Amino acid sequence: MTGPPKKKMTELFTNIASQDHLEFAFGDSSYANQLAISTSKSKQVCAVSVFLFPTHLLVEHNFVFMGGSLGCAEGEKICLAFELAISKSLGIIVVSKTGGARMQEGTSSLMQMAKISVAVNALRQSHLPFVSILTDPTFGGVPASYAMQGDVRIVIKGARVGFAGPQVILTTIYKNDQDAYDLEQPSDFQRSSYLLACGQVDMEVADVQQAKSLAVEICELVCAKSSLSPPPPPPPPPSSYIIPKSDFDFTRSRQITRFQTQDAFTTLFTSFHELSGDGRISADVCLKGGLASFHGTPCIIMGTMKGHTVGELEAHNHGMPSPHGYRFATRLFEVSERSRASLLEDEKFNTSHY
Amino acid sequence: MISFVDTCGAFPTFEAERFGQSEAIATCLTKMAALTVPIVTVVLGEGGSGGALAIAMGNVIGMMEHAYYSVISPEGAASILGRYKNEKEKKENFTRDCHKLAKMQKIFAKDLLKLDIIDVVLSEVEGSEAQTQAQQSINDFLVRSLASLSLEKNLVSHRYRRFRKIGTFETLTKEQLKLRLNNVVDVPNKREKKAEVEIPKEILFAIDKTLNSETSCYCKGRGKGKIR
Repeated sequence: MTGPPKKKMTELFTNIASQDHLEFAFGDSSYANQLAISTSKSKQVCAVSVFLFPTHLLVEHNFVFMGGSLGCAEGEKICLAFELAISKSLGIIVVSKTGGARMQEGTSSLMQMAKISVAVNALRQSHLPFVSILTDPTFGGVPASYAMQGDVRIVIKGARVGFAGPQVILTTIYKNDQDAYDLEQPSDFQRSSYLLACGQVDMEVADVQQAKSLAVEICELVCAKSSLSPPPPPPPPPSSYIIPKSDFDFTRSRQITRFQTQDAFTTLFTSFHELSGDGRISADVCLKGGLASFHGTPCIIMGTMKGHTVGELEAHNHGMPSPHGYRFATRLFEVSERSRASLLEDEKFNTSHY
Repeated sequence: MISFVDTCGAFPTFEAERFGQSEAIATCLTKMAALTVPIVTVVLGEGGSGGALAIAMGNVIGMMEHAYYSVISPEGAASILGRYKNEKEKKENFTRDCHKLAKMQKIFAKDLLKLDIIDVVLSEVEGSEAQTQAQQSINDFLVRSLASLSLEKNLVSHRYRRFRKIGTFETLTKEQLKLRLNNVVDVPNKREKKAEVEIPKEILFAIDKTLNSETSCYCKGRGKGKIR
């Protein structure tokens, strides 16, 4: 996308601060005191920061402030960011690094999950993209809400992500029996590679910087306006379209040398970002797809893969998708909804860079 | 859509994590946020954390007087915040701490009504009338809620406004922000807090012999063990 020259980012909503509204104190420390310590250590008054860029909004968790946890101030800031993204027709990127919802703010902090979810839904209804970057660690209420609600989820290599952390599982289910726990814990449990294999994230990248630039690319790709107008006249049918008189042989359709989905992906489209996984249980080896650009027009592409060698065929399960493949397809249908606004409201997008 | 909540929380197992517990809850939240039909939620007993919230995004939320609805079960909160040094200390304090935390976190219906988290407290009675009284009050609540929601034109935006306003935070002026950030606080050193466990001299001697003596098997492969 050829956007305006990149301007410097601006930090927003810096005046929103966490507050000890329950006068919470337990053991030898009060929440008010913990807040003061966190502020002193992090030079922040809240566990998330919001940055405005010309083409997107960036929300980042600050782990030094109360373990990056989600409280009322954080919920408000994130909602304001989503609302600004909607009013400016921008994509949004959230970088999570958190222990979950903040216990010291009681049920109000649980409600922030609901509050942000309604904002995520509003962004979806405005057909704008949301990319979630999951860094080490991301646990509890945050992945149980916005961190897993991104249209595209990128995990940092080696990061631990999950709902119930190892400590909770150990105490609740294994009654602190470490040996029994160790015996049954799956290998790489809740690590990035595990999430990828379970189809819960789309891609894994080496570091946060790489994830951010990838996320920006995706946002810009989805927000890009269509350049396919007016539709070109249909080309004259090439000679190969003419039906040959010879007998048909259906086995030709299976020839290993034919033009296949993966060939279409690589030769017809640019800026392909493969997504992966049904978001829940597994990733399919056959039905693949993602975001791409077709002559400058953003689109979702998907298809069943085969292969030109026996090995490739095996790797794609001979072109037969599993249920996970079809669930992945429904996810892509949803993501395809995101780019409609920018297609319909080109003018609005162009004037909204400030 | 009417949902009834009574759970101590989502199941914390390897298998549940394997099948994407957090994604499942997260998806429930956005799907409920987008529903165009009215949602009424009743918190019957336990409203435990995200596992409860996943089906509790009502346009109207009612809650039984003696139910709780919290970010974490009191037991969970006590396990994390209690920092018990040993099993004995845990046994002695755990139950008391759970009650203390439940009170501290303000997780009962009357507290949550004040915080705008729920809309209606459904009163309860004790004794033989408890069942029928609960049935009656829930029935009335559902009838009233559905009737009032039938007047709402846009239930999605009604739900948006309902949840958007929840939360207490400060909005600082520039001066206040500056002051807050420059406030110097003594940051306690975590190491100092570590439990001092006194080990009898005889035991220390025995451990030292086991780990560090010339005949010790620990010296060869794993390097010298250290006693603090």
